[in-house]
Amino acid sequence: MEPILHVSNLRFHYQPDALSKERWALKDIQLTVGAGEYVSIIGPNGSGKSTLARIIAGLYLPTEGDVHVCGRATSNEHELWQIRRRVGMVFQNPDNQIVAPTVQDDVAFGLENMGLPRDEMKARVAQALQWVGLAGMEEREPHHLSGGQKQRLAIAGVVAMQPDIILFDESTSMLDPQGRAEVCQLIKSIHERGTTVIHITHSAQEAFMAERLIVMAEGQIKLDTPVAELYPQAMKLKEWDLDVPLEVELHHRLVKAGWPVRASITSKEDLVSELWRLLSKT
Amino acid sequence: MTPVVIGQYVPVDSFLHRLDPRGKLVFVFAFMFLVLFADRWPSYLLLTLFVLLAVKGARIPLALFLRAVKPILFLIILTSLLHLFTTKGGGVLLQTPLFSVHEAGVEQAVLMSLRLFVLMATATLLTCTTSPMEITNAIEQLLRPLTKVRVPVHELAMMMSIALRFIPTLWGETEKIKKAQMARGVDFEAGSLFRRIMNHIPILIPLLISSFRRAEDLAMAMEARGYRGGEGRTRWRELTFARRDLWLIPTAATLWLALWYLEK
Repeated sequence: MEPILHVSNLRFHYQPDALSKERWALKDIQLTVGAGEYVSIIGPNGSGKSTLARIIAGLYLPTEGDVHVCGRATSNEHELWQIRRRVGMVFQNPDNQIVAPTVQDDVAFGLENMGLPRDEMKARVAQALQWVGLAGMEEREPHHLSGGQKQRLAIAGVVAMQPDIILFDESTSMLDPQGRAEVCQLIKSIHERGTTVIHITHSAQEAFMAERLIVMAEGQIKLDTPVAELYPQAMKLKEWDLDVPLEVELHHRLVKAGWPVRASITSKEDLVSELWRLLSKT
Repeated sequence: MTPVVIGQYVPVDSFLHRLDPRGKLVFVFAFMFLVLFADRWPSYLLLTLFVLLAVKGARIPLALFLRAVKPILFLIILTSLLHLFTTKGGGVLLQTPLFSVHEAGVEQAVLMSLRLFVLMATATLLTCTTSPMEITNAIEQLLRPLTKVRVPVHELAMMMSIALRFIPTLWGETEKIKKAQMARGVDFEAGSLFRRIMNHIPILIPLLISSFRRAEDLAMAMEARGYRGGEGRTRWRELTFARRDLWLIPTAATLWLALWYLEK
């Protein structure tokens, strides 16, 4: 797999001119993401995960080290606009990322910035709205939408720009369960379309939807592993005060209580079949 | 509850709704100039008739229209009373020890009321038949030539459009903060006028702080979507001057000529 994102020796400080350089927001980050991968980044508050996302999107520049997106360095001023075009970002607060007074104007906002001709814009806006399930709401005003709808609108605005990477910066954390499920479903389909997805989240449940999971704490990458291999060591997540998915917690407690279950499971389905096996034996 | 910002757009389909907003804007300015210039009975009769016809043509429910005009009713009554009692001239109609009412006073009062009504009705008609987005767009395009003398026209239009987007959001937030402060025991209705104004500070400060936070988030989101000012930008909304818009020209010309004749 050819890498679409390459981060090497990245360090970031919010006040690079400050005398004492003790409080680095990010320290010694090495990260390579291949095209089409689905990665989640999980970590406690203040672990630097949002900062990392903003650096990848070219919104902040690294204090030290390099970030290459699609082979372009974010440190190059001229490439920066190209990078922002290729990396889409969906933010946390649904209200504060909708720019225009109507749904269709907002989807078109990024396309206007790209300088696309009107016919192309029309086709892309219609397609994006159809895809996120907001077709027929073109003239709606954003404040009449629900939280989930607003976030889907933000996704439509990003998807219409056809970026290579889409970053979700805690995009589900301000939504109700239904909105959350809708957005998660969209994230999955974006990945299935072949777009690289980086999903930053607080929720272990959502993080485990990805193929690869990265744990960040204190500005560093603490763990970087395929999700399938994470199950055996998932209890480690507690070290960083992170939640553990229900199935992992359950398995752990069963083992602890002395039930004869396998010592390691690889997925939720695996645990379910293990439990069936156990029940049919007794 | 939604705030009434600048009239309120009534989304129905009518000839006036379909007109190009640039044409409408220019026409309304020219028309308002005419209203200020008119000074005699017959001219006002004509102008009022024209506005009433336009309201009818816009297919706006009359009740909605009147509700939009209502806020200045107080102003109309006040100015007409002022004119009624202060303008002297002509025969005396009513004489009391305190004040007197002259013929000229009555005439002025009626004319002034009509003038205010026509002005307000025109502005309301514009905002009822043109969506705020169209108005913003029209202003941006009409002011385009000013970019040459370094007026940041695109930026101003973008600010207007963002303001339109966020007014309802901030309004909702104000209501929320107000309720939160009331739950903490702030009484907004009690006390002297000064006291009541001071009571609103606990609403304003949180609102201000959260607006700054929103602005920062929004700026970040705009940059992430590649916003870099007006240059190299194409537009989603296109304004096209159609044949029906040409009707505005003879209409304006006829009104000007008629007024010129009536005022002569």
